[in-house]
Amino acid sequence: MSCTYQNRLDYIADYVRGALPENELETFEAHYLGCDECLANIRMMEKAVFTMRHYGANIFAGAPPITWSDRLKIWWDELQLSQQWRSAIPAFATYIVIIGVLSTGYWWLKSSLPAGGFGHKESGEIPAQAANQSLAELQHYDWTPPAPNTTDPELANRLAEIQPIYQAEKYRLAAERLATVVQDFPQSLDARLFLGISQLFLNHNNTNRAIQNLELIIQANPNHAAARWYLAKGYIKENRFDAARQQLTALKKQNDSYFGPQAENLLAQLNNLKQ
Amino acid sequence: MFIPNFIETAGKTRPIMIDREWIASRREAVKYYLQKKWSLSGDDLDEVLQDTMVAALQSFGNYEARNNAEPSTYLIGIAKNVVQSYFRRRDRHEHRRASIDIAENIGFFFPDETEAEELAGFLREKISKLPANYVQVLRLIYYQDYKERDAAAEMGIPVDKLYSLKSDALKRLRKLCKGDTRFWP
Repeated sequence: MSCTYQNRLDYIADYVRGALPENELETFEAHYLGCDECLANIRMMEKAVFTMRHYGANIFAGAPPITWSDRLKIWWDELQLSQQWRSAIPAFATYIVIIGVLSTGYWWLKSSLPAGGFGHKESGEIPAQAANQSLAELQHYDWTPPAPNTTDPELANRLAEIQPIYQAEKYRLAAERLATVVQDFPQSLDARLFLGISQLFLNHNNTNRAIQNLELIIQANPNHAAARWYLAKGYIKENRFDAARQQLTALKKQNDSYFGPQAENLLAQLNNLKQ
Repeated sequence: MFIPNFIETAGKTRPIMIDREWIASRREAVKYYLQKKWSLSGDDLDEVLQDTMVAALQSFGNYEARNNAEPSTYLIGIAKNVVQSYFRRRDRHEHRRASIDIAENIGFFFPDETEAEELAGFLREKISKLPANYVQVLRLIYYQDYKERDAAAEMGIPVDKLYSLKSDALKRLRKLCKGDTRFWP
């Protein structure tokens, strides 16, 4: 028959060191006289308590003092919490700590990198965000219509209709109309140039189309300074910095009075950022 | 161990008899009781133990489990009568209250002092594995003989908490000692 005495070990330890209250003493004595389990535990405890009492100087030598973690554990044990809360609170605290560590790490990493540090880079060159924000800024290029006698009259008329739209910086509408003109007059470099410039002012997909148009102009006329300048801007917008640098270098060699100095300046900025 | 027969009376279960075998099986428990409670040792202990066992064997037929008394309560009553008679015969009207000295205790619990010292080394190793607050409780109460209230003040914790810590520390200590034959022969 197994022992059913509640908190048996506490009674045994108190009994062994003579600390059991008088009113409980006889009840416990009467119990262990008939209980083998309690008697075995009493014998074990007698030996342990006797040894601790008489050899304690050796046993407890260098016993560590209570640390803050022990006090924390005592405080935690004292809290009146259900088992669910006892599981949930440490899990939630762990979750908060993990989120905190990850957030701190993220912000630290982000602040330690240059602006646009997470963006795509072309062969270790300038961060895309920096290029987009500063170097790829576009300026409106004034469109002066060509002399009527140098151009097909129909082409001249259609360009004359689109020119005010472009000058009003309504680039999307200008691009739509110029696209039809380029379709009808593919040899018109002016139409293609302002189509390309208009497309550069639009979104990413249009930038690629702009680059294609401007490249065609350069193929047809390698000395076309305006086309080369805006082509370089298009490359920068697309983070193709080597290609932009080539165009700017070529433009610089052309000694164009308007675009030449700008090309030199932009090239210097690109080189500085690369360093 | 002998398990006495039980009878169901008014919804309660109680033993109805004890026998010689059960009484004989209690010899070691009675011996410990006499040593612990009445501080008997040596020839005194042997004589009182023998008288108690004989008295129990001669009178167990009188056990009627009155008021649902356990057989061990009956046995402890016999031991008390025997030991008080023994003291009267020896003109010792009160049992010795002073604690038994270390030499007698070592003789009771250990074959010799060497084993006690070995056990001290064993306990030192085991206790060092316990958390610091458990070690503190054991040190204050079982080595420095603090009362629970004083130990709680020393550790800066409530008394209730100290009782709980003490209880846990004892359980851990028992668990650590469980496999050792010196504790559990």
